Amino acid sequence: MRGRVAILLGVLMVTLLAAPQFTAAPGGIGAAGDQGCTCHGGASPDTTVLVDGLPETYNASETYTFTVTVKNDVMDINDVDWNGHAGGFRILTSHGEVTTVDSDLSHMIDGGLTHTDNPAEDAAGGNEFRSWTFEWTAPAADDLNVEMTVYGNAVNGGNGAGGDHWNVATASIAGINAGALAPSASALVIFVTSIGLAAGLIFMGVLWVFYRRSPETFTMERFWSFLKPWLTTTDHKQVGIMYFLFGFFFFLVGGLLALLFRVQLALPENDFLTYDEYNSFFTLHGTTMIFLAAMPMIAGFMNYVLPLQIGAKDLAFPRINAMGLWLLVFSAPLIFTGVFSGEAADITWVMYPPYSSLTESNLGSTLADYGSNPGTTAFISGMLMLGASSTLGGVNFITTVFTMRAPGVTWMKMPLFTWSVFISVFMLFMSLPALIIGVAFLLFDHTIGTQFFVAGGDPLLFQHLFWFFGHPEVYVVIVPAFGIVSEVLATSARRSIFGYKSMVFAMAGIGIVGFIVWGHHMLTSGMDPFWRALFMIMTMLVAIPTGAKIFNWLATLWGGSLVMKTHTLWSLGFLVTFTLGGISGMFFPVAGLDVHFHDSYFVVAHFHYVFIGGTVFALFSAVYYWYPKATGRKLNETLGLWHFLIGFASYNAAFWPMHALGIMGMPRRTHTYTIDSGFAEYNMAVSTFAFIFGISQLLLVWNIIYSSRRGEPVGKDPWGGWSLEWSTTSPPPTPSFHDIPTQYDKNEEFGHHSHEGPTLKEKLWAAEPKGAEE
Amino acid sequence: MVAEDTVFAVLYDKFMFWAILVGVFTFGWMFLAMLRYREGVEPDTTHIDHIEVGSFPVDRHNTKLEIFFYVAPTIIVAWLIVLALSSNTAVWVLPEGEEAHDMKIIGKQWFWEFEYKDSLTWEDDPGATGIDVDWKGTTLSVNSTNAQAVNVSVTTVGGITFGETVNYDPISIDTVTGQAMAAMTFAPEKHAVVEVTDADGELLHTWMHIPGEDPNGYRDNFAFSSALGEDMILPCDTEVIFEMHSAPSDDSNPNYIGVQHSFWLPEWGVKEDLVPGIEGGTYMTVMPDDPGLFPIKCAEYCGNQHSMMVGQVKIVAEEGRNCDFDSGVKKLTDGSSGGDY
Repeated sequence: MRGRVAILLGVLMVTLLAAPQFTAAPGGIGAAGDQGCTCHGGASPDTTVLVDGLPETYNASETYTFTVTVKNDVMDINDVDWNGHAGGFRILTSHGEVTTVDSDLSHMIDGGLTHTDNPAEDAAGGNEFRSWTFEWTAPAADDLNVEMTVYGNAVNGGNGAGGDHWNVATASIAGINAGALAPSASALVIFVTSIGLAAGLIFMGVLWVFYRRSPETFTMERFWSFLKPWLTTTDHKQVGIMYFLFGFFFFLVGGLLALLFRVQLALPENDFLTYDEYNSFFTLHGTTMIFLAAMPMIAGFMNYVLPLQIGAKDLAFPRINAMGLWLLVFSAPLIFTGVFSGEAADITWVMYPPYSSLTESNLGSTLADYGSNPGTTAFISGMLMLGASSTLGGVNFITTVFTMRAPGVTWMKMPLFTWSVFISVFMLFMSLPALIIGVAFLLFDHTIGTQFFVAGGDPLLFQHLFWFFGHPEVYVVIVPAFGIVSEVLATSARRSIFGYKSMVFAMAGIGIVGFIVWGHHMLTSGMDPFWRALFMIMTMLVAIPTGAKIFNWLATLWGGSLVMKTHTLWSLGFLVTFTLGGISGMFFPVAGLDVHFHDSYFVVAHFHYVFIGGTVFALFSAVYYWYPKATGRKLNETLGLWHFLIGFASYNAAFWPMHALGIMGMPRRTHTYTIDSGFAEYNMAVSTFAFIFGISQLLLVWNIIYSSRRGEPVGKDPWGGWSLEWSTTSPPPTPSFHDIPTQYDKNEEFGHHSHEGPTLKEKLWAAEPKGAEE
Repeated sequence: MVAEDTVFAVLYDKFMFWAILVGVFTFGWMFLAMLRYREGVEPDTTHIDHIEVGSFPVDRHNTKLEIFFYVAPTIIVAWLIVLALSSNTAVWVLPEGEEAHDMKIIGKQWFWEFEYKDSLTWEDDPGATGIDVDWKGTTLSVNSTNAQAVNVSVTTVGGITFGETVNYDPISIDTVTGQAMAAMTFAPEKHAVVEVTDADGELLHTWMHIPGEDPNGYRDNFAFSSALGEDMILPCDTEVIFEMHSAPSDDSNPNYIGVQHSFWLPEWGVKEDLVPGIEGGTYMTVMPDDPGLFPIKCAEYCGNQHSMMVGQVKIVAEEGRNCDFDSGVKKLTDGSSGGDY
């Protein structure tokens, strides 16, 4: 019995295997032809494929006859080697069934109908013609939209593929009862739409909270009068809170972008995202994180804390301050809006030309694939607006610090956070013109056909302009972090900062050296070896003030009594990760190391260690530290502890393996990698821990919402800080001080300098040269 | 993974030593301070510096220590600069003399072209395959001690009419003497491939001649292209100098001048950008030591299919030589490499 079944199955299988052999000889175009029939030469506009006789709408199960004709007038038929081949086809249809009228001419391969080669010497094969007649039997349902794709080859009959060309035609046939075509959207469009939706939901949430406060008296007018002061405010505290919330929202958006492309990179040879999507995702991730997340969050703390620390009622130019905020808010949609063109900016956050200059307007439509996506134009315009916003902020803060310090707040008695902000905005103000010029020229190249960075221009000029801004920029975001950590560690250790003046000089030193190191981003760009050596030495000098700062922080801890609150933990976490990031930074300027590390994952690891482990950890510290001042309530310490433990551990687990990937040879901005490369295990680990790090941020989101109502109420000075922001109520009134306060100096009372003799300077000044009397 | 004995590997070890030293010192101090000076272990220290709201607290400083905090990093940085400067010559100064093998690398969206300026004749190690191919003057001769070797196929490409491929009739190896002989004129301007196969067509031994630059400039340089899956073939134990250019994939629009690429050979730990604006090209040099297949990658973002802009470099022994000489840069002993891309 069993034997008979086996025989039956065997016969069946042999029949199945042999069946196609009876209907047609092998040949034709398989699934490889779905990207075009490249087995015979390339695509060419000289070849046209005509599809004639298909209806616009179909009736159910009806049969329609149509012809496909391949034309190529310029092609020579090679008479000498003529082997009878003239053309070929491959027809794919989404519904229904296509057959040739003469069944010897076609057969199915990989789900598509294609021509046959000569089945026998005397019979005709499908490839001996350039025109064929088909029958299409419509599907039984008449509410479908049928898509038919027809590839056609014009073959010149010669040996090999030389001189043969193909082209493609498509036809859409709607069923008589079909509705309109369903809209389709790319992943990126859906993603950005959901960001807009999230913003809308946040607005609805605010509306709901307002309604719940007193449902009886709720009217839209009252809601508007609650909202309007926020939208039209020039108060530095409200602007600061909006800066921070805007930055934090985009921190989550940028993080979500990163998680999406971490899914793509988790597995080798993955195709979760297309090339275009992947390139746009990392471009938007980088730009969002630096310009829309880190800088606004820092600007939030600058706005809120700096005037309070120097005892000013507000900033010098409150309206310009508000303008800076709204320029920033409206540049965000510009940066993202290219998504709705179907192809968002894909030029990386460094925007290197010529790639970013090249676009359909200067390449022409046939070469457009070699240039940047259409969304780039809006992206660059958004960058210009960001530059304007930051310039306004810079002017404002510099003026404020120069002119509005309260009595007693002299230059060398300013809190270190104020010093760090002053140095940071000064650097920003000095470096931004280079970026704005570069980006403006890029926009001209893009839109009105100038040639600054394309043919005839100099692509390297943009790199110089960008990094003359770009390197100070990374110090612009890290120096305020130094200020935050100095405040938090000194307060938590219950001591004053060790070596205050040395700390100020170190920050100023970083600020100055930061302007003469930009070339290390271009060490592999064909620069003269002399300049490379010079930039290398300059870059390594940055380690000296940075090292001095770390040692000063450690000396501050030494001899104190450290209070382990959440903000202390984040600052200590900053010390660990920033030191690691700083040490890995010493590897880059070195010629022999940079030529391997440049644009590898080692770079990615390094700057995430200094950006997240440096700036973002310090910002988390600042959130826990100044939240009581802004709301009058503490953030929940238990949630904060879990946020730190999970965040710190998963952060290190996610970014440490990237160092190894870089040394192994994984380039950054790479869409995928092979199994053989050996990158797979590390990438899986990176993706897994990146998700844990991302999810741990929800603890902070929940903590901020929860503690604003349920947090422990606090007085003026919950942590025991000394600077003037702790002398006012929590939250402070508007304007921030009723009377301008005076800052006193304990050194006059207790300092060991007060009773000393004349200083060295006084001694030198007072000393008489020997023999002067004579 | 970067090979041993490269400039990168040597410098990386030196820097790692100092990084660990600095790390141990800093983290040791840091964790000691965090654990030792905690609230609960130490009494409240607020009174020491008179911390009080609205008053600048008492200065806490120690001038000698503060100066030391600047001097100590300065000494380490000065020493690291000394170490680093020594690598500049090795990485960026091109070797003198005529010995070097010159290559021209052309980066296009999204593939590499490897143009030969110097000719290269190489064959698989006769000691390993038991087959020795010799083609000089007018005679092609094959000496085989490998019993499986049966067929010899000969192909030439190019010449004055560039791009023409000629497949010669296969030659059989005499099973008794293990020899094959044919009267064929060797033309140095043509790319010639001699492949010895067994009865099933399995490749046993390759002999190849790659033509160099035509001194009269009558023809284009011979080039391999990664778009066609071809490897770049380089001789071992010879300094190789790459002259690198970025070129457009399509010449039809003068605005399209190509984009930035970066030619990265992870095995030797070197890369250099290809910049469209630099007419003379950029330069890079490596010294291959051991034979093998190693990855080539593009490190600078160059558009849509940047991650697909990969290739392979094959290191071979020139005809009549072997790769036994230890010229410096070794293949990793565990055989792992940076992968395909």
